[in-house]
Amino acid sequence: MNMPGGKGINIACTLQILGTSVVAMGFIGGHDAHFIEETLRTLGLTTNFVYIEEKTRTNYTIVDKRRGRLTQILEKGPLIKAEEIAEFSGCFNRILSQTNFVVIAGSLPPGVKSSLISELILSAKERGIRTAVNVTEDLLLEVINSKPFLVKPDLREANKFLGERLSSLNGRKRAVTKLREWGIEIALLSFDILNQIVATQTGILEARIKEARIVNRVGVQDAMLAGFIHELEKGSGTFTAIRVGTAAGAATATTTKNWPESREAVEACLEAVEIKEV
Amino acid sequence: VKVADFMTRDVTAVTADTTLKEVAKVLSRRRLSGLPVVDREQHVIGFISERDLIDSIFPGRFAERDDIRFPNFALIATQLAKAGEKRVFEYMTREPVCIAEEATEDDAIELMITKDLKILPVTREDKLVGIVTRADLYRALIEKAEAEEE
Repeated sequence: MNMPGGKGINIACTLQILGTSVVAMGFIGGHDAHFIEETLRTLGLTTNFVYIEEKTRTNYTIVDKRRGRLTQILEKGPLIKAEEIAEFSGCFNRILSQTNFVVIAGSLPPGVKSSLISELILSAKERGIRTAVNVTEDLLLEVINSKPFLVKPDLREANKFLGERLSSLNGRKRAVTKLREWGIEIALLSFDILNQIVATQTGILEARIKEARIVNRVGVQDAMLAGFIHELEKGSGTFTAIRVGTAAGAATATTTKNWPESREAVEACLEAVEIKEV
Repeated sequence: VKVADFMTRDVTAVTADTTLKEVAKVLSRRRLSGLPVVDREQHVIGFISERDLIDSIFPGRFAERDDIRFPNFALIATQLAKAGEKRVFEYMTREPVCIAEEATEDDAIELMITKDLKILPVTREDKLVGIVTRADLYRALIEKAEAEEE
């Protein structure tokens, strides 16, 4: 199966499927650029990509259904030139005039420095627009001073974050509390693939899936963040947001796509989500 | 059928101070024949087309004839290098024809035919939200015809 992917695209597609209008931005190039845009627009997203000189990377995911194993072969991202970054910044600043919420997700391609993320967060903040950041721990620590509204670290297979063990409840609580102490409004962490913990001003909640059928892990964590943001933007509280986010992750895990099949598929998983205050 | 239902949901645009060289690059990479020009708030303030680019290299050639041929590509390259640093605001069409996303398919057809447009910027409160290309219109018309047949 050939499909566009990457954290940003997965989050954008899940948001759109759930009913939040999205403008997808980033760097694309080469033959696949048109395919990526067409696929996103078919789902109803608006595109605003910068076309670069080099070509978009192709990643391969091999799913061994019999052994429940997943192997990924990831190419190095294309080099982004200074003028392409400038073009992106221009597009980003203009699109802010039509935006309520910004999600920054994924890795930094060669040529792009972490300071770009900080600049984007601050530009959004100047206009009173909230930002969510979903990047690796190292990169997150480089941009944390710009204080995004919401943080969800990209942990993949990691079992530690900020030196805290994620296998223990106390470790998870300490990790999200540290983020809150650094001025982050909402600290969200995923663990054991389908479960997550969130810390806000009002307390800490943990959401778990009672019964899960996992066909695929790609895009699961992205869908969890998207579901959470979708509900926040609707005006729902943290309880509903983490419930829908966890359901969106579970719905994605049952497909071979990087996002849920439909809004109904997410709703069907809501019953399986258990939430408790911790 | 409303314009929002069949438009291309892409908001690629340039600003008035973009160089023509940059415009040529964007048009070529995206395989487009023109781009909306927007201000800092994404309001549509102009339109720059490949025809405007050619006009910047060979002023007045389009005034003589609709079909233009270039037998010497080396000359084009030399001239483009000279004109490339010029800015969009010098050559763009100001106050371009736009259509609201709530307008109908018939409105879009009429505008594109009567104004001889290849691309029609689509707006919401004067801000760019997409474009209608001739291909979008053909696709919408074919779908409409097929629906009527059924």
